[in-house]
Amino acid sequence: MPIEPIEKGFKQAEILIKDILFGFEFDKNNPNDLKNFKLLKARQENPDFEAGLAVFICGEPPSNFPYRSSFFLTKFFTDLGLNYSHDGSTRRFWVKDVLLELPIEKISYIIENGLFNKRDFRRVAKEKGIVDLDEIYQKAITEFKSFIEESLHINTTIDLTYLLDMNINVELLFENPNQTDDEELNKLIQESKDRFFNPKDKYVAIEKLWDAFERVKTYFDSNKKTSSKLLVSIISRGFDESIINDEFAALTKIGNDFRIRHHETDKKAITNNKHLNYLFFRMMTLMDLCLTSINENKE
Amino acid sequence: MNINNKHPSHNKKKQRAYCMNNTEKIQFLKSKLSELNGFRVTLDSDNLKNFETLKLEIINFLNDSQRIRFNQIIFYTERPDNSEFLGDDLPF
Repeated sequence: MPIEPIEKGFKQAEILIKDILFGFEFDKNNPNDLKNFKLLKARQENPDFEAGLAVFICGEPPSNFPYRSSFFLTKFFTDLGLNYSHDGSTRRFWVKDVLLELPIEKISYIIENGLFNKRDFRRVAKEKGIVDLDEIYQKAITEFKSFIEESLHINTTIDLTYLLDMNINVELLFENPNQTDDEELNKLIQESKDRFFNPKDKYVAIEKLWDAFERVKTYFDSNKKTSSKLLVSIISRGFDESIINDEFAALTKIGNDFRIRHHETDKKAITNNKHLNYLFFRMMTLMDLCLTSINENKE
Repeated sequence: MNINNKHPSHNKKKQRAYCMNNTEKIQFLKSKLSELNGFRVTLDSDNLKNFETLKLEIINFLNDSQRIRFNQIIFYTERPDNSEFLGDDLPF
């Protein structure tokens, strides 16, 4: 079937691309450019930005802007030096189409010099016998500000994990199938994860996890010091080695001081579930980092 | 689930835009705009496939909001093909 290009569509695409280019090239030290950039963000975030602005320009009730008939719409644009003449179609759709063909700098110009031109507010105030011009002007400003705010946040999404009532970090930790070449290490971690879901086995889960921690320290060499130094260095790539070092030391100390690795009478027991949970996830996060880094290093 | 596979660069076409620096992005956009303008009057059924490929390249570059806007644009209309039957050829 033969096809025919639509000039309006190409013009809209051109403007969309030029706006994006403006976003890359604008002068960050120029207040005018900064203002246009903020307006551009609102335009880009809200797919109905032009439709909303068209309602204001047309003065469609219940907006607080002056009503503009076909004649005044044409006058609105021609007074701003824009050669558009209303064609008799539905006013707000026509204005929307005009706006879609204008770059962000022109939209900004229209708002400053046309939409908020007090002359039109004065005309309507006179027609309606409104004495307090400032009051309707301020209402229009408030309405416009709220439109910009809404446009900027119109695409705010909701985290699905919130809707599903799950904790994505926990899911990631438990679902992560990280496997190392050390079968014994893999088994210890898996057993720890399996036991953790049984409230009676939480303590055992932590013991297994600390066993896995000691095991991973010798992953590269039977000499624990040499091996764990290498492990810390691999994990820390692109991060901060001292933080990882401190975490290794802190968790080792916890394992030694509490009744986790040793069961002498002087070792403190952990009696509260919330502390068991805290220690489990703290260690599991570090183990996850270790295993991920080991596998990446292998690649 | 392997979280390492979830990096945005998993899509090769997106990876291109994702990895570009600003200068490359500007060059890319300017070049696509120029290509787009080339179709402005010449777009027909013969080069429609090339045009759709170009659209796809642009769409893959855009972020979600820009993509919604771009997808709303109507670039062409289909005309009924009257070449086979003229008024005089109709059998009634």
